[in-house]
Amino acid sequence: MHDDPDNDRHPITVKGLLKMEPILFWVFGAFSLASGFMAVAHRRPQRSTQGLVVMMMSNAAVLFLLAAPLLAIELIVVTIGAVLVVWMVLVRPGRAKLGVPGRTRYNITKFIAFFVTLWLSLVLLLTIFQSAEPVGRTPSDFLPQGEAGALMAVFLFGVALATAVCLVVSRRRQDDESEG
Amino acid sequence: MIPADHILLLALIQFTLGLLGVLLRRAGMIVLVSAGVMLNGVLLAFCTTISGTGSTSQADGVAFLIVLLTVALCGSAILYCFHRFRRTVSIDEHDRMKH
Repeated sequence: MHDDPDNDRHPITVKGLLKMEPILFWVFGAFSLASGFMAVAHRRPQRSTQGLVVMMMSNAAVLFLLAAPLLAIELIVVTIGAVLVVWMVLVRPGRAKLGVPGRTRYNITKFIAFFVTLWLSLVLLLTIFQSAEPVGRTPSDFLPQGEAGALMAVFLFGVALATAVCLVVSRRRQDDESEG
Repeated sequence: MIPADHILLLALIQFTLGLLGVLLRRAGMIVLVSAGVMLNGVLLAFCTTISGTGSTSQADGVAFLIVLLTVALCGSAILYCFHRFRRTVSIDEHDRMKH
């Protein structure tokens, strides 16, 4: 019925969303600043770390708006994973022994395995985007093929490294338990 | 299209916020978090080049993100070791780090 691609009467279109870019940028920017202020000014380290995680999420949304989806995905997965590890090791030092069962509610090995799985899924998603036909603003618009391949190789190397570390840590823990 | 000035302004505010936290707070954990806020501002400033000049490369930003990750993990390792020996993470106590 309305096949004209320049039809702007419907507000919720890709074109309409692109026109909202500056508004969305400042909405996420305000979230980012507010949570950054909370991270810096709060007295309790738990709340401070939560503020940092929310700030990084808002920054990832800003990076999506700035046409840098790979950076945004990596910021979400890698850095927030690192913040979670910091939170478990430093903010709750009494409970976060490295994967000792019965003494902790947060098994660090399970966390790492979860993030590795999430990471791999996002890499696969990005690869599918790369191979798809470009429609509008997809990651294949901003990422050359050779560079994407190199970055995928780095990602997969990181995945392999994290998995190896997980296996070594869990095996050593089992050995210690069997000796004890 | 978002103007580069807006992105740089947001990055500058984030960097200033983190800098204030690093300079004014004494708890080691919050200083580490403030350093993360500063590095996020720098990462945003990196992205100005992607959005503003029409460059297609995100490799600089990815490299900087690895720097950010390394700083966070090294800082947490230092704090953890310091907490083991001194039972505190106050920055004022860091002049007693030798055994």
